[in-house]
Amino acid sequence: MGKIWIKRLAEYVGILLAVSMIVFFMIHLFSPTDPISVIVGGKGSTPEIIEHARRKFYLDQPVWKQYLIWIGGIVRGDWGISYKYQTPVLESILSRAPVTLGLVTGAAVLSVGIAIPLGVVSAVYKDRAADRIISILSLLLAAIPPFLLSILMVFALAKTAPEYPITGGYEGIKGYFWRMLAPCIALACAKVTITLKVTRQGMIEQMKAPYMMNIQAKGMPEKNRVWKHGLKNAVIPVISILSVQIGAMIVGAVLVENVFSLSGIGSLLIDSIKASDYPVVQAIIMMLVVVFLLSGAAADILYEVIDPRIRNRRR
Amino acid sequence: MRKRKEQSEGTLWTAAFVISAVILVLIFAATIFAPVLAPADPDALDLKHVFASPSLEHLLGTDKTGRDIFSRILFGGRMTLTGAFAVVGISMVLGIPAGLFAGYYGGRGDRIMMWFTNVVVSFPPLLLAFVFVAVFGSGFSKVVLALGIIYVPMLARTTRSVVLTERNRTYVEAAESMGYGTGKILFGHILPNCMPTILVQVTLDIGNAILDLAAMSFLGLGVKPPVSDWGAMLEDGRVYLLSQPLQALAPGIVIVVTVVAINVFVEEIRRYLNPSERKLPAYKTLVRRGLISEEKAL
Repeated sequence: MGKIWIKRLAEYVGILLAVSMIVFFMIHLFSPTDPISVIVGGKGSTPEIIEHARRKFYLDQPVWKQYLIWIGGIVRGDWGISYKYQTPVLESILSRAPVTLGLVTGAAVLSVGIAIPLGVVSAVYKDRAADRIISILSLLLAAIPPFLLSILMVFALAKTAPEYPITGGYEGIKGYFWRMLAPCIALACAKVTITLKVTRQGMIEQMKAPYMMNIQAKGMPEKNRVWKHGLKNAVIPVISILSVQIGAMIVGAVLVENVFSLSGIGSLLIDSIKASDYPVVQAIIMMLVVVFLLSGAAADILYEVIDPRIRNRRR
Repeated sequence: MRKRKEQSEGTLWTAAFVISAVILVLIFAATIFAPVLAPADPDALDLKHVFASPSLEHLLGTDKTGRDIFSRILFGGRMTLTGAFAVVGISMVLGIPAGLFAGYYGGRGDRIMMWFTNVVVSFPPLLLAFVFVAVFGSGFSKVVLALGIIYVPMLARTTRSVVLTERNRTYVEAAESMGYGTGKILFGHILPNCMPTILVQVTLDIGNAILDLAAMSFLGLGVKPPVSDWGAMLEDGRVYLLSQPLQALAPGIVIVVTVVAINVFVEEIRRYLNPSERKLPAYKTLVRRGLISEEKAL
């Protein structure tokens, strides 16, 4: 099994290098904005200041050399300096990470926590009232894009619970959870539908399988039959959907952060794109690609934990 | 005889189909005839009537500079819908030929294309659009171009999968043995047979494009003021959400209604094209119409 992971790791490094080159060279060769104008900004620019900035940001070097300096820095943990704020990129990303991390994890946990039980219930009661109600609700949820749902939630919260913090920062751990709750729900809702559909489909297949009849004949309680044996077999496709969903949630987080005035990585990315603050943009894009790859890898590990057949085939 | 057969084979005209079709026609007509229908100039400032409540004169009220929101929605729809159609148009022009060639020829070109497609499709479209905008700058036409290109792999993949089943059909062999050129076979024979599936995907993509365009404009990466689309209106209205909820809710509702109508419309067509899911007439109706006799059915 170790061999497969070494191969995997090499593949990931390859993808990361390719993405880093594409992003870096596209930005530095095609971008219409001159970095110098972003760095110097509104300050009175004398030739000396421009020359100094050029040297500080290695803009006097050829592009391929700039790339090597940048990628070397990324590996060593020096992610460059923001053009606009002249502060280390890593620092501003880290200071905003808790918001986005909490938002995406919270939404993922919530959407799975809602979708899987509902999916199982609607599979068990297939074509009955409970199934119908759940499928109509999930269709409604899927129809509302997360940014609109966030707006509706902000509106409803401000009208009904004015003390709920929909803007501004937070204090302490309790304040953090309280502040993140509404955005998490807004982000989770739209993602419930697909997970629910896949769970329902998988469970319907499992309920028909011969082994389920065997378990039933053996006299195992219905609860164990459905939730332990059935769900365990039905959950594999759900996991592969989830790793895709994480990606969609990161993009959704950008929009939700915007509505709930949370200063997370998503809003940093959009602000930096608008300001042509390329070191920040590059760093965030690389980070998101890493997150995508990791969520794919996590899904693969989970398959092996859940399904012994996959575990043994790999060995 | 033919009519009898059609009547017993189920219908496309379900309630869901008719309602969604009517909504779509209304929305498209309203945006196309916006210059005629709009009660006011969408960009005319009227500083005396700022934040007006809905009235006969201003159906949905006015915004912070006294512009009529209803008129702005009609004109904004022109931007959003033209943009969405342009996105899908670009993806069709590039994606369909790519899928046709890959599916028909197979081999190394196909493998490379599929590998590339799988990599691109694994990223959410909006993230790729962010990268595109970061490199080439923001603006409505650039976002449309970016989304058009980003939608290509998905459409190419759909096209390819249909072509794979079509290319082994007898009619393709017949056309080949008659010595038709590859272009004629691909575009004249195979493509028309793939069209139903491709069109379903394309129509779904229009809905997705509306949402993605709205999101980009909402984030301020799409249209630039004073031009506006539904996404930008949503962002404008968000600031005054508590005092003037209609200004944000109206474009939001229009977006959702349009996208849901498109999705329902496509779903109904897809069901009709798949006879096992098609809505069939009730047994009683068939008997009443004399299409089946009661004894025979029993």
